[in-house]
Amino acid sequence: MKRYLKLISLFLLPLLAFFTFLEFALREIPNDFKYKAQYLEKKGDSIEILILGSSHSLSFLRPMYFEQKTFNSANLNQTLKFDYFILEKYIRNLPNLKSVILPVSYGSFFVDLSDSKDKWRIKDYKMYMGYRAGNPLAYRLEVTNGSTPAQLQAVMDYYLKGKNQINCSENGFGIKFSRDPQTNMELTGKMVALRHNSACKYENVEGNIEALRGVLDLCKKNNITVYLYTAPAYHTYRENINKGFLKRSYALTDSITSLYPNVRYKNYFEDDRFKKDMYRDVDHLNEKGAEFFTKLFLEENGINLKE
Amino acid sequence: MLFNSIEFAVFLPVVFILYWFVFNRNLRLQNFFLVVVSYLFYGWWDWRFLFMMAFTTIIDYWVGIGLKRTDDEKRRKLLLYTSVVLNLGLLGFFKYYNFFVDSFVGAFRLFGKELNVDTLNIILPVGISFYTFQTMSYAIDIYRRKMDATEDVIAFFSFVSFFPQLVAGPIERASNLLPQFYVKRHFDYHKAIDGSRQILWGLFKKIVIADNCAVYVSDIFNHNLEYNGSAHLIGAILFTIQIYGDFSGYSDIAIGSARLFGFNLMQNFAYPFFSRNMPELWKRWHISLTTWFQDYVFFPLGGSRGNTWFRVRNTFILFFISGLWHGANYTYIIWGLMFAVYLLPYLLFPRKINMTKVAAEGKLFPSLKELGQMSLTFLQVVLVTIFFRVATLHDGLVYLGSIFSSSLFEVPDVLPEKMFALIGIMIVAEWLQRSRQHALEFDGFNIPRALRWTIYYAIVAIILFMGGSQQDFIYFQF
Repeated sequence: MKRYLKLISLFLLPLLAFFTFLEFALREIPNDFKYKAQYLEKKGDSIEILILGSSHSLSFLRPMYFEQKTFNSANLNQTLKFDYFILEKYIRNLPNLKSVILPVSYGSFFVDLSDSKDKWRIKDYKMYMGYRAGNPLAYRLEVTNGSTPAQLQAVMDYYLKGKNQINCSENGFGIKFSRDPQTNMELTGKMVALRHNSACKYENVEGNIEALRGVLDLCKKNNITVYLYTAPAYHTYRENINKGFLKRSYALTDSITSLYPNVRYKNYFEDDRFKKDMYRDVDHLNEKGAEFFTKLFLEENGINLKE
Repeated sequence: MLFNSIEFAVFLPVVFILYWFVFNRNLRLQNFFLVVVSYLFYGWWDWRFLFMMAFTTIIDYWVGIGLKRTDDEKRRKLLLYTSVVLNLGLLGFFKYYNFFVDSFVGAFRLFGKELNVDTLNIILPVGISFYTFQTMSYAIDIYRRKMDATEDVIAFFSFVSFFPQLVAGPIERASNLLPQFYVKRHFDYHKAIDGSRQILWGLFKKIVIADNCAVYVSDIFNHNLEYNGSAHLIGAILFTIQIYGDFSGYSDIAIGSARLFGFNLMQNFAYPFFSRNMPELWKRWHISLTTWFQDYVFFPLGGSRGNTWFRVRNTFILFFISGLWHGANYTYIIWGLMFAVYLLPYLLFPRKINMTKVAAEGKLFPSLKELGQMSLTFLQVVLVTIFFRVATLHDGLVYLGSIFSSSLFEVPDVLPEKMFALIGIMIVAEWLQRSRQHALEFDGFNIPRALRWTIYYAIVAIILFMGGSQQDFIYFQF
C-alpha cells in the first residue's frame, strides 16, 4: 500500500504543482467580474442607472450616451437568476439607484445557466462575486472550468505581454468579442436559432419567473423604475426560432409586468429600423447598431441623452 | 457525480484512503462504508433517486430470501414475478411511459380518432436500466437455483449500489460480484497499479476521443442540410467512435476504480472495432448487456435450438428488446432490428467460422482479408449507428440518403485531421494491446519505468491540451 501511495503521489506531484501554479496565476489576472464587483462595491454610490442582463445588454446599451451616471453590469450568458443575485447583493452599495434596465430575450425564461454548455461561467460569480448557491465543490477553481491551453495562453498574455482579461469599458460596456462578426447571416440565422431552440426548456420557466419577480420586487421596494426590453434580431434568426417559446415569453412578460406599476416594457425583436449593417451577428448588434439602439432606447423611454 | 469531474477527483482518493485505512478492520463496516459512499455518489445527481434504488434493493433482497426459504414452486414463481414486475414496472414507468402514450395516441390518430391523453414530465433516474437489470438477474438466478440468496443485507446493498459500475455498468451478475463482498479484500499493489492505468486510458478515450468527436458530430448532425454526403459519412464514423470512446472509456474507469478497492468487474468492451464479422462484434461490444440478454431473454426463448425460423425469430426479439432498452424511441428499435438483419446471413446459412481469438493473432499487421473484414464490419456498424443519434426515423433516412448520394464522392465539407490523428493514436494503442484487457496493461512487458512514465505523462498532456469540452456520458440517459 505504501509503495502504491508513494508512486501515485510521485506521479501526481508535478501535475498538482502545475495546476496550483496555474490556479494562482489565473486568479491574479484582472477580469470583467473582478472589475465589475469592485466597481459596484467601491463606486456604487455614484450609479443612478444600472444595466443588467446578458450579451443583449452588455454590448447593446452604451452608458456613455446616458446623461445620468450609468453602469453596465451585464455579462455574457447572464441569466435572470444572476441578475437577481447581483442586484440583491449590491443594492446596499447603490443608494442613488433610480433605474434598472434589463433585457428579456427569447430564451430568458427557458434557459438555466447550470444546465447549459456555458455552465462553467458560474465559477466567475462564485469566485469573484461571492455567489453561494449550488454544488459546493464545482465552480470553485479556475483550472477546472476551462481549457488548459486557453488558460496557459491567458497567463502568458498577462505576465509576458501585460494583456489582462477585462473585455469591457470603464463603465462596463462590452468592447471585446471572442468571436468574429458573422459574414453570412442569411445562413447562420437558422443555425444559431436552432442552437438556441435546443437550449430552451419549459422546466426552467418557474425558476426564471421567480428570479425576475425577485428583481422587480426589490426595485419596487426601493422605488426604482425598471425598463425591460426585448432586443432586436436579424430576420433569419427570427424566422427559425421556436414560435411556441416566443409566444410564451411574450405572454409571461406581459403578465408579470402588468403586476408592477414601476415597470416599462418595449419590444424591439422584430423592429425593422435595425438594418443589416447594424448587426454583428444574427442576434447581436455591432458598434453602429449599439449606438443607434442606445439612443433610440433612451428617446423612447424618456431617459435623458448625454449631448 | 461524473467520472471526469473535479468532484470525483476529490471523492475517489478520499474514499480510497478511508476504505483501506479506517474501515479495513471490519468487513461489514467496510461494506457499509461502500454503501454510504455509493449513495453519496448517486445522490449527487438527485437525492430523490436514492429512494427508488433503495426500494428496488429491498424488494430483491426480500425476494431472494423468500426464494431461499421455500420449495413451493407456485410461491417461488410468485416471488419471481414480484421482482420482475416491480423492476420492469419502475423501468417502464420512468423510461417508457411517455413513449407508449405518444405511440398509443399516434396509432389512434392513424384511424382518425383523436385521443386526449397527457404525457407526464418524468425525470429519468440516472442509470435505472443498469441497476434494475442487475437486481433482476439476482432474483432470476436464485429462482433458477444457480446461486444462493444472500442473508447479508449490507453486502446486497453494496452489490446493487457499488459506485464504480452503478450508473453505466458493466451490468454485473450477482454470481460474480456479490461473493466479492463476502470476503475480506486485501490490497494488491499490481492490481491497483493496473487499475490506475486503466482509469487513465478510460479518461483518454472519454475526454480526448469522445468529447472531441462530439463537437464535430453535433455540428454535422444538427446542420444536416448544409453538408455533403462525404461529410455525413465522416459524421457517422465519428459518432460511432464517439459512442465507443464514451462508453468503453466509462467502463475502463469503472473497472479500474473497482480494482483500486480490490474488486474485479467483467470486461465490457473487447476492442469491437477489430471484429471481423457481426457475430464477433456482438461478443466484443457491451459484453455485460449482450450476455445478460443472452442468458435472460435469448436462451429462455429457445436460443439457437430448433429450426431456422425459430433462431431468426429469437434473434429479432432479442435485438428488438435490446433496441428498446437503449431508449424510448423508434430510432433505437430500428437500430436494434438492423443489427438483427445483419445477422440474418449467419442464421439462414449457418456455417462454422474458423477464426483466431483476435484478429492477426501473434502478428503485427492483419492480412488484407482480415483488414477488409474489419473495415466492412465497421462500416456496417457506422450505417446503423446513425439511428442511435437522430431524433426521428425520418431524420435517419434523410441522413442515410445524403450519404448514398452523388456528393459522397466529393471532397468532404468537414475534414477533421486533428481528430483523425487522435483516433489513430487510440486505434494503434488498442491494436497493439488487443489480446489484453486494456491498452495500458503492461504486466509481463519489460518496459523501463522511465519509458512507462513518459507514456503516462504524454497521455496526461494530450488529455489536458487536446481534450474536448466536458460532455455528459451518452449511456447515462439509458
